[in-house]
Amino acid sequence: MVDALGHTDVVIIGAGPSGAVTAHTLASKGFSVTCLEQGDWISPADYPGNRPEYELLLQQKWSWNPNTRGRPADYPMNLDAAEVTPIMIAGVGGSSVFYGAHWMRLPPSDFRVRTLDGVADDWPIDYYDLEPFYNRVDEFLGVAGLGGDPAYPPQDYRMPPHPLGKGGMLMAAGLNKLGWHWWPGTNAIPTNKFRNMEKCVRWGVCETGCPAGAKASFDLGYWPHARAAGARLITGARVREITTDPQGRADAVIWIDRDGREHVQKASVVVMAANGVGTPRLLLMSKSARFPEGLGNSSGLVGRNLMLHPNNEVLGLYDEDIESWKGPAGQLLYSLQFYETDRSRGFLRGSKVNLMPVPGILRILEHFDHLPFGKRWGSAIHDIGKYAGRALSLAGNIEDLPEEHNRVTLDPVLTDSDGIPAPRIEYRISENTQRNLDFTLDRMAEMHEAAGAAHILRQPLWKDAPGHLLGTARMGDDPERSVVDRFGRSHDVPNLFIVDGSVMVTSGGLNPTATIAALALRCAEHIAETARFQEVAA
Amino acid sequence: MSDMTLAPADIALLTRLADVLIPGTADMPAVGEIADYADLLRRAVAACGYAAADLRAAIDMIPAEVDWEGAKAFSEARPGSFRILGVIVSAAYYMARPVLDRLKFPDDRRHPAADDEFANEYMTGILDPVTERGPVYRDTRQA
Ligand SMILES: Cc1cc2nc3c(=O)[nH]c(=O)nc-3n(C[C@H](O)[C@H](O)[C@H](O)COP(=O)(O)OP(=O)(O)OC[C@H]3O[C@@H](n4cnc5c(N)ncnc54)[C@H](O)[C@@H]3O)c2cc1C
Repeated sequence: MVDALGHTDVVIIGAGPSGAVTAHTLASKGFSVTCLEQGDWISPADYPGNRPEYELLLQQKWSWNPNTRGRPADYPMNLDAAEVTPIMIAGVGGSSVFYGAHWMRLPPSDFRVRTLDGVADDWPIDYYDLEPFYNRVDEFLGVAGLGGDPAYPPQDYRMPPHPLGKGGMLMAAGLNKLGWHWWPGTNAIPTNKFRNMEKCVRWGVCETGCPAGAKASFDLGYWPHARAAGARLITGARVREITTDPQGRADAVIWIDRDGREHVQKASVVVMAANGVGTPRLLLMSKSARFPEGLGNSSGLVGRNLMLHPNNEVLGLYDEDIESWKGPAGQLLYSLQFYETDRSRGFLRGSKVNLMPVPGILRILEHFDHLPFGKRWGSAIHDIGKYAGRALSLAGNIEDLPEEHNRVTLDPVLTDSDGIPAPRIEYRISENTQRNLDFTLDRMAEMHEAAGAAHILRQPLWKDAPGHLLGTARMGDDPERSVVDRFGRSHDVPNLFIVDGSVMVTSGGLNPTATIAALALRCAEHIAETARFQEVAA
Repeated sequence: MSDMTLAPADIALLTRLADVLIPGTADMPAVGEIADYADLLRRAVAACGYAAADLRAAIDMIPAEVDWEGAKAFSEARPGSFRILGVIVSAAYYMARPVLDRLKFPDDRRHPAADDEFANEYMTGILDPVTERGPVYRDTRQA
């Protein structure tokens, strides 16, 4: 073991959005910051989206599922008991390199689910505590959107929204016919050149990495600024344990480089930003005599309450030429018509529906694989293929309530390439969530119908989606019912913080990264403000 | 990514299968009209996620003089292998420029929006029904 790196004020584990925001915030305030990331920088030149064969590249080489990808940067997961796969990307920027950049806040009700609906728990903070942090991250990234959405308290954005395009206009008219809520998509995709990001050119492949450098993935939106502020970022560095001193404070992390050598990074503060699977995995691996159930786990809740937001989809094929090869993808629009609880639907909470263009042709063809040979091949294929460029996807992002049996544990057998135990995922879709899925699927079909789709194709569940990994180290005021406090500080270890989606008490029904980034900013500022109690040189 | 290299005989078999599965029509080009179809097949095979052994086995199952009936029988007897090849020949076909041209897929992928594009959409009044209904969120400050 070598202690190559000396001491740092703050060590951050994971260079995704939450790690990037934390690194930037603390480095800008003069702290020495070291971030350890198991993945690498991913070059835009390597992104699959700018190659004609990109849909095939997603099958394995660039799959969203780390088990399928199987790269040295990835750790495997035991998914035998998982009804949904927790997809993720390892690298600088984390999963944001491939995210769709749908940039959504949780509305106020999400922070008060217990009070309003009698289930789950209230958060220890509310929307208005987080609002200033949402605003500041939005401002920093140049989020594009239209203020005034009646589904939210007043909010506004620096950049104008992206055009709805022909497909968006068609769907908007359909939703108006139904009298249902919709709003132009809010995206972390600049509509004009902003800082080091280009203006969006609507390439349409946002979820395979933006070839134009026009998406606020955090390798672009935050890391250059964090490094300019002095943060040190070490890639190919897989953390395997957080160690503690005799007083029970975190004092260092042990990490392994790509050659298998171990290093010790001493630090005054340890920040976990390894996502809702990687963070509990590492806490559970950091066992000691003082913390026999894993670090920060006196509540027994580390790894529990995993929420994965099952998604489903209804694809609409249109006879009109709607140019669905044109982005952003990104969301053209979203609907929160069915977001809030309506008990008459037979379930609690709701979902967000978003509209995306579908530029890929293979994705359309595969929806027809069930047809008999004569209706699928021969001249019949052209009756399907003609819908290339004429397809719109409505996806339902389903609120998932916390359930303790949905959890991340350490697999007794499976390990990663460094011999570290892999996570085992236990995740079942609850009856409430299933009803929500079914209800949302039917409503999405009605939306396409109202918009005039020629064919409506239902996908009841996307197993490999959506990469929202939440709830496994929840925040709360009660140390027996939560892992971290309202700022993300461990109840058990005063200089250990968690900034990723693990801390979310409920999942909401919305894409979580805006919330994760806002929580990370809030936590980082709290670390700075309370530094004198942390033994951090201010 | 498959590390399989297609031999000329493989290309010939796949092209013949593609001819049967994706015939030319008045609107759409035949495989024979796509000059670089062999290259596109290689590209598809290099990019796909199928194991080389599965691909090899599937190609070896293509009847030598495959016709409509032979392809149909193949699809029924070995649906898994047939599916792999169906994806490969379709992927190569739909990557071809003449095909994309007919489908009106532009060559240039960059389509920056004009500055007034959203404003023009907005000015149609498309959002008015939504805004006219007023706030729909639950304000927890009153809860
Ligand atoms: C295909 C896809 C589309 C998505 N679309 C959207 C969207 O449109 N909108 C939205 O809001 N969200 C979206 N998401 C989710 C979004 O990407 C995540 O919410 C976000 O990236 C979470 O940030 P994070 O920092 O918490 O975690 P991550 O981005 O997962 O980053 C964690 C990092 O920690 C590293 N790490 C883990 N363990 C270790 C270890 N032991 N040692 C060192 N490093 C480690 C990982 O390699 C990773 O880089 C999408 C996700 C995917 C995969």
